[in-house]
Amino acid sequence: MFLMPKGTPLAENVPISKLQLPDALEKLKNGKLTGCALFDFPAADCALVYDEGKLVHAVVHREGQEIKDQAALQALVEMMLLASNGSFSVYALSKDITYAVMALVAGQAAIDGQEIKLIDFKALLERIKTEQMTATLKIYTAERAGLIFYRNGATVGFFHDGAATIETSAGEVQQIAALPGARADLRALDTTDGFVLDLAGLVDIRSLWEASSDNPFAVPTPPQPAAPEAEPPQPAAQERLSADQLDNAIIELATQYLGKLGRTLAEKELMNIGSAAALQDPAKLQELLSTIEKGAKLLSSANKIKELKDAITAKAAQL
Amino acid sequence: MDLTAFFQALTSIFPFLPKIYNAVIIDWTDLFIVFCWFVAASISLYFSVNNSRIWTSIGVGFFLLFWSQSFQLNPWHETFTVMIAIHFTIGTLSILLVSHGIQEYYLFTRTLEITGSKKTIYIATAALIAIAILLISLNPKPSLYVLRNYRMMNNIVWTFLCILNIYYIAKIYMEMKDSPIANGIICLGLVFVFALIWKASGMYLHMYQWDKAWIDIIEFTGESTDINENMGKVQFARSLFKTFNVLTSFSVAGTFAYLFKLLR
Repeated sequence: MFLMPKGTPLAENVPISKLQLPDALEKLKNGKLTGCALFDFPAADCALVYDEGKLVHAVVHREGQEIKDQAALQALVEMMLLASNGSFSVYALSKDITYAVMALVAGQAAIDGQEIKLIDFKALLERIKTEQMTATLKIYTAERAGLIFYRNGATVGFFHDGAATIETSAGEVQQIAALPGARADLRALDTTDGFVLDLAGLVDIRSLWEASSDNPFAVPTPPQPAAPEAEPPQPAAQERLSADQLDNAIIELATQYLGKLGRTLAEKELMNIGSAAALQDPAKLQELLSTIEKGAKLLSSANKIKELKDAITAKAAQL
Repeated sequence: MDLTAFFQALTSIFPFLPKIYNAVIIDWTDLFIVFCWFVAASISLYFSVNNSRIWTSIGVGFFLLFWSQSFQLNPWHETFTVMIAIHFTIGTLSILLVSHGIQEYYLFTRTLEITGSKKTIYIATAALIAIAILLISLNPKPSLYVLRNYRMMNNIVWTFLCILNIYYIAKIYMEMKDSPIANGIICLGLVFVFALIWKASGMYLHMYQWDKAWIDIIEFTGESTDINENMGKVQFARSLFKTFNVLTSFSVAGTFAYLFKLLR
């Protein structure tokens, strides 16, 4: 059973149809996320592990197989484009739990599918402590699963398939361990691996996404004839904004008009519509404005909210 | 202000109204207090209709507070003891609603989620009031002891919910201190500090049976009281009760007028 912990939800069950993967990952990077981004597809699951905005591990579970890192990102792009439905969630986790999750995703298997009743738990815990392991112990049956997280030999949290967030007591995980046929995996981080690469720097997700989403049957657009050189630039033309620039501009405006919470509100609502690129569609722009307005009513005056909406509309027109 | 002649004229026009035997003298302070609650109720009700869903709970709560407070101006309220019980219950429900709204506000500042609908709040409030009226009507006509218990319940619920509200308002302020309405949130917190002192002093007088209602009761039963031995404490609690009653109503009107300016 594929089980990843849930921490503080930053986005939950966002339909993938609303998501522009490169923009979403860019936001997680810029937001310096420490935690997990989880993709739930009908026939596969994917987890991306972030440490302060750095994409440190990627894993895809598909048809009983585990695909990791660059290959996992390639598989994720394909699934995003091919799957008819699926959801996307982002959870912030503490640094300690994130390191334990890194062990779960990419660590060495110290115990692999061992039956619980054959494990000397006291000795195992002693080993985790003395070797100062950063590890995750997964206890599972066919139906249920639980996780125990360790950082430098100390227990830092518990999670199970019925939990909404990281727990501080082992109660439910102990019950899973007591189920008939329960097994355990222990994955530990190799302490010699001090330096972890940013996967986002190794794989150009945006070009992967754009290349994969191109229609291979589309008729190529003929190159436009070059404009006569003598034609001067239009002085009245507005400066055009890219989707990323528009994203940042909207967030800046929300901060300016509504304060710190306005920034978070704008980030959340932009995440919900997928990306600022979607604002070319007037319906999406209207949706964004009305959701921002709904929250802004608790933060600012009607006049300021109107000014903010006008400013966002003006910026969106520059896309 | 002597309104005896006015109410006597009213009873002659509407003969079904109970006769007025005692002089109806309404204190200017009471009138001022009720006026302040009226200002707060009008603005908060306006918020509840024209603003975010979360303001609905707070707005309806403050409107019910005005309703419970305005009852003291009714010269017949001594005649209808059931009505007095209903008004104390409505006063208690009102702080529950306000606290519900404040807790939802706090939740919003943490999750930026707004769920539920205004209709649900209106229907749930009407249902709660209807159930309270039904329960009070099904029971025997409240005696002076029972009415005093209702008043005590009101004071206790207010005291503890005020503490919670101050805590949540402080947390809300920490989350949105750079937003344009942050100062309005501080003012709302100040209202609850005043209300806490007002209601806690009332609760204190009730707990030690030094309140006016108890003194009125024992006047007929002949029971003894230790009020004279503790007159210093009693006077102090009574002065706190009176002063902070006025301060609460004044600050609530001021706060809502200020919030109106900030949110317009």
